[in-house]
Amino acid sequence: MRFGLVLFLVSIVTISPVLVALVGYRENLAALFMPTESTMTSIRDLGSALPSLEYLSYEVIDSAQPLAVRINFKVSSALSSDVTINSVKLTAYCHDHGTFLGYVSAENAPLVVPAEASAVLRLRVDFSQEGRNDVETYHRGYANLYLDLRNLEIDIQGLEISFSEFSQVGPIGIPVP
Amino acid sequence: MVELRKLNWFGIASGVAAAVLLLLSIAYAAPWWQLSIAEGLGRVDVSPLDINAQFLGLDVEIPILWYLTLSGKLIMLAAIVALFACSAFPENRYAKNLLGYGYKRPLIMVVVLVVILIILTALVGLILPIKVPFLGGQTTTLTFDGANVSVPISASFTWVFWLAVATAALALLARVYHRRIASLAKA
Repeated sequence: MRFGLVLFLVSIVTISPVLVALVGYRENLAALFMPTESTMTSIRDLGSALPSLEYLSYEVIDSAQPLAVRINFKVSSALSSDVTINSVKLTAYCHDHGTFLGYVSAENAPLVVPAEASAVLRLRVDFSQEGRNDVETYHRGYANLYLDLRNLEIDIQGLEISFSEFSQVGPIGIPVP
Repeated sequence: MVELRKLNWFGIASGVAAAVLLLLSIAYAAPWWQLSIAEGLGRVDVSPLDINAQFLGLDVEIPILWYLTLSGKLIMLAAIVALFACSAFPENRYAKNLLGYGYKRPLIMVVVLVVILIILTALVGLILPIKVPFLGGQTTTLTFDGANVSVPISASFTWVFWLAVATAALALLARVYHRRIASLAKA
């Protein structure tokens, strides 16, 4: 009988942390079951911490045939851990004429964006025949080519993000060869 | 003097396995069940002894979890002491009571963990627009500001869970074997 009481007391001791928590939080029991205030603040700030893309510059890789352009984007991340961009797929269209200019590929993927820092994502546009015609007709010799990047598919560590459009990237000047 | 043939070896093995579980928890916070979001973007590690969640480098802290898992550790410690004591001294008058206390705890932990995980993963799917698998993989597509985000989530038991299952099974065997030792002692 006495030993049963000992085991009962042991049982009480083992669940005592939960009892202590219930007593300690009795004024605000909800706080015991909710994420802490610091966690909630961090979660609220998560939206602004997610990696963002910003057009930086361009380079004409080959101004003759086949025409190819490199577009550099600054990828900034305020997250507290490194993020890896595995792949980027998209297509480029002329902003003014809606012409399909060509497919775009990432030159430096996978790209590691360090925690709370930025990295440069290099995208290469290989112009299609239709795209080359558009450039020759309307943009050759002027810095007036704006790209609309459509059907963006970015793989960030297995997380696949797709946007419909990233518009008016430029202006890009295609020199006369 | 302890007679080797009268030791409850299943109970001792169960106690050792339970002690390993406790040490793994203290040293590595080793999870029994693990949920992964994409390729390392988020992680939820769950066991009755530790619960840790991390998303995009952010630790998610919920106060009750710390108290619950501390209780889990104390329960496991008490079960280990009880299993060792009743297995080393099976003829002691309190051995049956100790075994009755010790053998159930690992089993209860395994069963309760599985039941809670099944309920929680189903509840999350009902409350949030995201599918969380209990086991296996699932991809959820969410829409934010015109962007579609596909989130692959996978869940699985770790080898530590199977060690916990083995611990519970050994504890059950210890309960059965104790009767045999008791009859030996009478003979």
